[in-house]
Parts: sequence; C-alpha cells; structure tokens
Amino acid sequence: MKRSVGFELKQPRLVIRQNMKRFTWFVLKYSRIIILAVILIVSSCVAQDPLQNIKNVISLQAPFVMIYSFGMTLAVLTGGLDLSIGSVAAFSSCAGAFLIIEGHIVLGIAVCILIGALLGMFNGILITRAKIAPFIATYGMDWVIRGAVYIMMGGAMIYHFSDGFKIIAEGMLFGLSSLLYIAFSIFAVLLFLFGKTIFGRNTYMTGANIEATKLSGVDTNFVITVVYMISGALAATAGILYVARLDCAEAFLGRNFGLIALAATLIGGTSLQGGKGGVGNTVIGVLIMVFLINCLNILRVDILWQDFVFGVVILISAMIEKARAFYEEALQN
Amino acid sequence: MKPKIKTLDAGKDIAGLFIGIVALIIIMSIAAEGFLSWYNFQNVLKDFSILLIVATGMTLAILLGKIDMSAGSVMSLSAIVTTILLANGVHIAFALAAGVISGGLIGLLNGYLVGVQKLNHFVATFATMSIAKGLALVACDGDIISSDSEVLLFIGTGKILGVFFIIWFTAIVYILMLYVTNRTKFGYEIYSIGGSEQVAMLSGIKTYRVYIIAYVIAGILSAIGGIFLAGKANSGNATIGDGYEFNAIATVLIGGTPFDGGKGGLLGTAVGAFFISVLRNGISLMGFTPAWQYALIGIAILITILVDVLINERAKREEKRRVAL
Amino acid sequence: MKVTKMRKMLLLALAGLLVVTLCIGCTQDTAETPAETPSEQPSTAQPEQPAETAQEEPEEAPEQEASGDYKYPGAVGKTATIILKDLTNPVWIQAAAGAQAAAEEFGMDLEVAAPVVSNNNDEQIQLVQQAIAKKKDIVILTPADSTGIVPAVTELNEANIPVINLNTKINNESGKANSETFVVADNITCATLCATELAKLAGEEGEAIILQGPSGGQVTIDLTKGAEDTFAKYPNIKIVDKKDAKFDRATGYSVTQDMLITYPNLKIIFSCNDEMALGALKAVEEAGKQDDIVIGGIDGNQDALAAIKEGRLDVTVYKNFWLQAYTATEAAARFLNGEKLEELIPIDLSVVTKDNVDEYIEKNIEYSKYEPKQ
Repeated sequence: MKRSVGFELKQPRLVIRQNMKRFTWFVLKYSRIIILAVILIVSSCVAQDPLQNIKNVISLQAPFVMIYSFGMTLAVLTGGLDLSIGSVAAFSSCAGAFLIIEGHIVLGIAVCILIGALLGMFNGILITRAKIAPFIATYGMDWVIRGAVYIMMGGAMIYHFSDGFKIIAEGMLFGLSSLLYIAFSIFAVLLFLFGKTIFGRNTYMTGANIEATKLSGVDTNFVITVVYMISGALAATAGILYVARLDCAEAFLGRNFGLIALAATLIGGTSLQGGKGGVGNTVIGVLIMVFLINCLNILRVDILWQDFVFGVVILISAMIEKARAFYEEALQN
Repeated sequence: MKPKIKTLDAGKDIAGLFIGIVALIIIMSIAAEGFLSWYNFQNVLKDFSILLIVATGMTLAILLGKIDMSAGSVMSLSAIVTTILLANGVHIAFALAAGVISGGLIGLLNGYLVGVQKLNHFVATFATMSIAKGLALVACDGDIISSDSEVLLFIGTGKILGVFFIIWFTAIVYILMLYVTNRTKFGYEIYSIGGSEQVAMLSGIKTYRVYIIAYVIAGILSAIGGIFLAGKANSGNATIGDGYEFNAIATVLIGGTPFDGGKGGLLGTAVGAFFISVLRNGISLMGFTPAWQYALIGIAILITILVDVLINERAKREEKRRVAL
Repeated sequence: MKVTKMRKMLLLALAGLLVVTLCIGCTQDTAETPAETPSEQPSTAQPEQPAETAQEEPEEAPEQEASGDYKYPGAVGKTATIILKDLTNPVWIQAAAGAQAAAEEFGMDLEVAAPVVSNNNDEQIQLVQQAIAKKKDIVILTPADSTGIVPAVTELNEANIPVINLNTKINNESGKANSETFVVADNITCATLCATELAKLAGEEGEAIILQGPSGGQVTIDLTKGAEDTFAKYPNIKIVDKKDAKFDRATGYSVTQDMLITYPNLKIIFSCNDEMALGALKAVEEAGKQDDIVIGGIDGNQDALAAIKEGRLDVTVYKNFWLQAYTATEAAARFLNGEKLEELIPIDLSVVTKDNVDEYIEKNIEYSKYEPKQ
C-alpha cells in the first residue's frame, strides 16, 4: 500500500483531487456497511418495535443463512461453487433426525454433520479427481441427494423432538438465542482457519491461481476437497439447527438454500473468480440480505417487487466492487 | 473473410454421449411402454427443440467463457409480455415481437454489463435473472394470463407437414446458428475470445461488440423458448421458465462445451439436448416416481460428464504419444 | 496414471449406483421388501402403524376372495393414469395411495404420475402426452395450471381418451377441454372453509395476513382468492398484507416474525398450506402472542394435526387427498363400466379444529400407506 503518494505532490489542485479520490475509495470500501446502516435506519424508523425487530433478525433469521452461506463462500473462494447445499442440509438432517428421535441426540448430530461432510467430500472428489466443473458436479449431486432424501423419507416427517435436542436452537443466553452464538463460533473458527493458517492461505492461493499453486507444491486437490467437506458439514449444521428450531425434519428443507447463499456471497463481495473475499464479507452480505427482506416486509412493499429489488441490489453491489477496484488502482499509481 | 475453424472433433468429444444415447434408446424401447411410437417421438422432439433453442443461446455464452443465468427468467418474461399484450387486444405479430424484444433487451443489458462494464458474468446475469423474474411478476401481477389466440396455440401445438412448428422453427434457427458459429467472422471471434480474451483483444477484435451481440442473441433465443412454452400451454405465467437455465447449462456441458470457453460447439449441444430429452421422457414413461427420477437424472448427468472427461483425457494422451513418436 | 484409475473407479461406482437405483426402483412392484420401501414411516412418528396393517389385512383379503368378480366389471383390466400435481409432498402421496387402493379394489391397472418439479404445468402436459402414447383407457387429471393444461386436454379429447377432472377445475371456457366429471375439492373452497372458521375464531374482526406460496402459481392464486373473498364478507376484518413464503416452513417462520413486528395488532394468519402455518405458529409462540392470534393452514398433514390436537394450531382444512383420488378412480371405473357420471362429484372437505381432530389423525395414518409401483 502506497497511501502517502498524495502528500508528495506539490500542486494543491492535484492534492485535492487525490484526496477526493481517496475519499471516494474510502466510501466505496465501506459502502456495504453504509448500505446496511441505511437499511437498518429505514426499517427502524418504520418498525413499531425496532429493537425487537433487529433482535429477531440478528438472532433468529440471520444465523441460519450465515451458516450455510459460509459453506458457499468457501467453495466460491476456491473458484467453484456449491449448488448442493440445500439438499445436503435436507438429507443429513433427516438422517440425523432418525437417530435423534430415538433418543441418541449427540450421536444423531454427529452423524448428521458427518454425512454432510461425506457428501461434501464426494463433491470434492468429483471436482478434483474426476475433473468435473464444480457447477455441474454440485448441480448433479443436488439432484441425486434430493432424490435420495425424498426416497428415504417417502413423504413422512419426523417431529416432536425431545427438549434436550431442541435446546441447541432454542436456548437463550443473555437474551440472545443460541443460534447466534453457534453462528458466531463457526464464524470465528472459519475466520481463524482461513485467515491465519497455512491451509487458509493455500485455499486463497488455489482460488486465485490453481496452476501456480500446484506448481508451488500445494496439494490443491486436498485443499478443494476439504473445502467442499467443510461446506457440506456447514450445510448439515444449518439443516439440523432448522430441525431443532422448527421441531420437524422433512425432505423439502432448503430447496432455495443454494440461490440464497449464492446471492448473499455475491452481495458480500466475494469474487466468483476465486481467491478474493471471505467469510467476513459474507457476514455483511447475509446481514444486508436478511435486513433487506425484513425492510421490504416492514415497509409493506408488495411481494412481487422482491425479486426485482434483489436483482438491483446484487447489481449495485457488483458495480461498487468494480468502482472500488478502479479507485484502488488509481490511488496506488 | 471466411475463416474455417476446427470447432469440434465431433466423433471424439461426444462419442461417449452417442454411445449413451444408443444405449438409452435400446433400454427405453424395451423397458418403457409407448416409447417407440411416432406420437411419443414427436413429443420428445418438441421438448428437445425447446430445450435446444435455449441451450443454443447458452452455448454462445459458454463458448465465450461466460454464462447466462438469466435464461429461465427471460423465458418467463417473454411469455408474460406476449400473453399480456394478447390479452389486451394487441395484434399477435406485435405481441410476439414485443416478447422477443423483451428478451433481447435483457440480453443487451447482460452484454453491456459483461462486455462494457466488465462485471463478472455470473454476477451480472444472476442479477438480471432476478430483475427479469421480478419484471415478469410485476407485469402479470402474480396472475396467470390466459390467451385465446389461435396463432399462439398454433406456435405451441400446430404442425406443418405433419411435424410440429416448434421443431421446424428450431431446426432453422439451429442451422443458422451453426453456420454463424462455424463459418462467419462473428463465430470466429466468439471462439477466439473464448480461447483467450487478451489475445483476441490484441488481435483487434472489438470484444465488447461480440459480447453484446452474443448475449442479445442468447436473450432472443431464450425469449423464443419462452414463447414456445406459452404456446404449448396457450397461457403465460411468471413461473414458466423457472430453473430452465440450469437445464440449459447442463445440456451445454453434457454436449461437450466446457466452461473454459473456446472449445466445443453447437453440434454437441444438440446431442446433449437430445440425450436429456430422451432420458427424461424414458424414465418418466417407465413410471418412476419423481423421487427416483431426481436421483436417476442426477446420476445420469454425472456419468455422462465423467465419460466425456475420460474420453477427452484418453484422446489427449494418445495425441501426446503420437507427437512423441 | 493414478488419477485416471481413480476416475475410472469413480465412473464404475457411479454406474453401479445407477444400476442399483434402477434395480431397487424396478423391483418395487414386487413390494416384498418392506424394509426398503420408501413408504416406510419412521416408527416413532406413527407408532400405531404395525397394528393398523395387521388389522386391515384380514379384512381385505377375504373380501377379494369372496367377491371374485369386481364391482364394476367393465373397468376390470382397463388401464388408467392419474396425473397429480406433486408426489414428494406427504399429502399428495396420500392421494397416490387412495388411487392405488381404488384401482386394486376395482381391478384396474393404474399408473400414478406427477411432475418432477412440483406444480409444473409443462411437465404435466408431457405426462398427458405420455399417457396418450401408452394408449391408456382413461386419464384422471389434477391440473397444476387450469388454463395451461387446456391444450393437453384438447389432445386427450382428440385421442378419445376420457378425462376425469380431479381437485382443480380445468378451465373449459373455450369448450375444447371436456372432461367426463369434476371431482370437486378445489382450493377456493378450501380457502373459504378455512377463512370462515378463522373469522369465527377471531370474533369476526381484526387484521389478517395471508402467507402465500410462490407468486404466480395457480395454487397460490386460488387460495388467495378464496381467502380474500371470504374475509371481504366481514366488514371488520382487514387483509393488511400478503407475503410469499414459498410453501416453506422455514420461510414462513421468518416472514411471520417480520409481520408480527409490522402489524402489532395482527389477529388472523391465513396460510396457504400447513407447512407455512406451522412456521408461523412457531414465530407467534416465540413472540408470546399465541392467545391473540388465530392461525389456519390447509392440507391436514400429520404434523399439523398433531399441533391442533395439542391446541397450538387453530384450524386446518383436511383436504382428504386419499378420498379425492379414491373417488376419482372409482368415477373412472364407473365410467368405464358404462355408467353416466354426474357433472360434479363433491368431496367432503372438512374443517379440522381441536374438537374433531382425533378422527382425522386416525384417518391420516391409514391413508399414508403408499408403495409406489415401478
């Protein structure tokens, strides 16, 4: 970063221009937070009970979306994407629920997450070993897994879980739901894993330039497979939390997870080319998304406009990202 | 200038698919009652044609190394625009034109965002996907628009010389696009940009122009697909094209055009579309429940792609060996 | 080399998976593998099931042996297809079970078909065409889109295949889509029943919201229309909002949270299916407003009935899918037997509240037995 370039210039007009540039860049850099703040302010002004509203969204709605969006984000970081998270969530949570309803709570949860990871691993193998493009590999897997869960459940639902299980999603601590704490712990772990460890660095490198990374001696296949495993495990976690929260395991869970997670990741600014962005971005992306839906609901906007507004927001977000990159480059020169 | 491009070693790249189709047809003829009838074959061809016309547009995008996520929403939009105008007494010719133009406009927006603004193609078309769907929903007010137009019904279900209009139309468009991609300068430019955008730009190709034209064509073809669907049902609704973009992308990939761009071509897309149409018709005729169909379709997609990959690998290895000798 | 080997193994594994899937799928008609049949219910969800089966078997067996010939001789051995809107949803699986029970009873050869993507009109058109290709004797049709299916019904008429219209009416304004009878269980009636009961429970006043399915679909349109028309009859009930919750429990849950904030005086939640109603219920309970708000769903699935029994959910409409499909199949048998059918065959759609829920819970268990034939 050569931020001090501007001060060396002697012509005052140029300095001003340079400062303007820097200001724009600054605004653009934090534009997502500004957007989020605007949405929050608008919805808080209109809502009857703004505090409860924000608490609802942050502690009850956002955590689910965050957990499965993290998985998508990680896949996107490696330059791929994971369209199968919805069906993975459904399959593993249903499989786990069979055990949980029998009373094996810990075992059930473990099995659920394990199955999620295994399915993710299969995705990873298809992508790395079979060299199938992530888009089509996970799309095909989505069909297979969704079919499997429909067959497994055969139109049945599992409900009336014990309180011991439901507490994982319904527990409260300091007035906030356990979901928030779970999501936050996962976030912290991922932030550490992908920000501070060698594995994280390898992931970013793989996403940025897979050939170069391979040549530098990193086992990219391993990296990608593990990333998809994490993605599967996170989807399973989101699935089992939904089951605990709504007290019902069923085969339709998560039919729209994939697209929501993708939208959240994109709004958050993780680049689809891979290697740029991260789970931190996704937290903001998810918050923008859930608060935007919330805001539209509270503003009593006709439901038909929702898709349109979404498209525009994704577009704006992409434009901002582009402008930011432009200014960053201009400042560095 | 008539550049000749070696687009596709059709025999090699999609040999696996050919084998797959033959095997599929044999299995289905034995196992699926009613599969081997002219009536069924025509209907399969009709659905194949609708898939093909959308996948043709998608192939252009993927050849450029890009993608068009908005295809399905554009189908819904054009179906809605056409039927709404018809319901309001607009002449059928204008209604159809407006439907196609609506697709072209979304395509133009895609092309502008990708080609001029240089946004990531996935993000840009993902956004226009929501926008087009939103526009369709708002335009029809969430309602189903019925049409009593004989012409629209004819487009969807009518026959010329005993063959469905849809099949004729798609055949003409397909052959035209085959010519465009394989024999014209524009086609050459698409392949060069798909191969390497940098090189293409340095060699003096106006890339933004190619992007815009390709996306406009893709939008128009999707819009035509939407009108076909509306014609089949003689009504339009905003969910008509939901998820179609995934079908189209899967078709193109199965047809041997990978995401990297610059490789493959329309020939494979047609074979891929045929494979998917026959597969879906067959397993549905065999009476599998939707749950089993989900699983079977997924497995079939994965196997086909995997076979493609394997065959390509082997071809590459042999080539290397030949060079070494 | 190693990598290629791996890939070949993968290919083999996938191919094996395909073969296994096909085999399991195909061997289902023998239905001698109860452990693997999809219709197997989780034991805890339905503890009474084994007893139920045991009871029923002796009942059915002698009947068939004794009668020898069937009730409608003209229908025996005839082929039929029933085209449903969906076959992944529990309630629609009940419909398949009902149709199958009737087909067995009347000696018909029945095929159950449904679009892969639920409520997809284009796929339903394809299914109709497949039924024509198979030269079926009769088709029972539950259109997902009453207008969009018309060209397909015209084709059936042209092929001289009689049509029994079930559940949702085929839009026959043009006179080109004729059916022999209409087994009425349409969504507008369902919505009317549910909304009326909700209005009664809410004391005929207050603010109401409607939770819808995906915008633009016919199911959503019909149910919303039924609810709107009914609430319009009560001057003190005001529909303040309609929201798309995608027929999905999780979405219903989060949308309702927002609605509770937006409309603090909310009194009525009308939900277009039970899934969303249960999601809404969860949100309402968490907000501590369960005493102020009445919630109604539609379908009558296991979970909703259980919630009504516990006094949490207020209303649902038992659509009686089993009986719908059974009646339609019987109508088909009667038609094939040469009888003239009534123009309308009404199905008893019942409002389920805490008072009568036990009856439906029992029914539901009995109706959920479906073993798909491949």
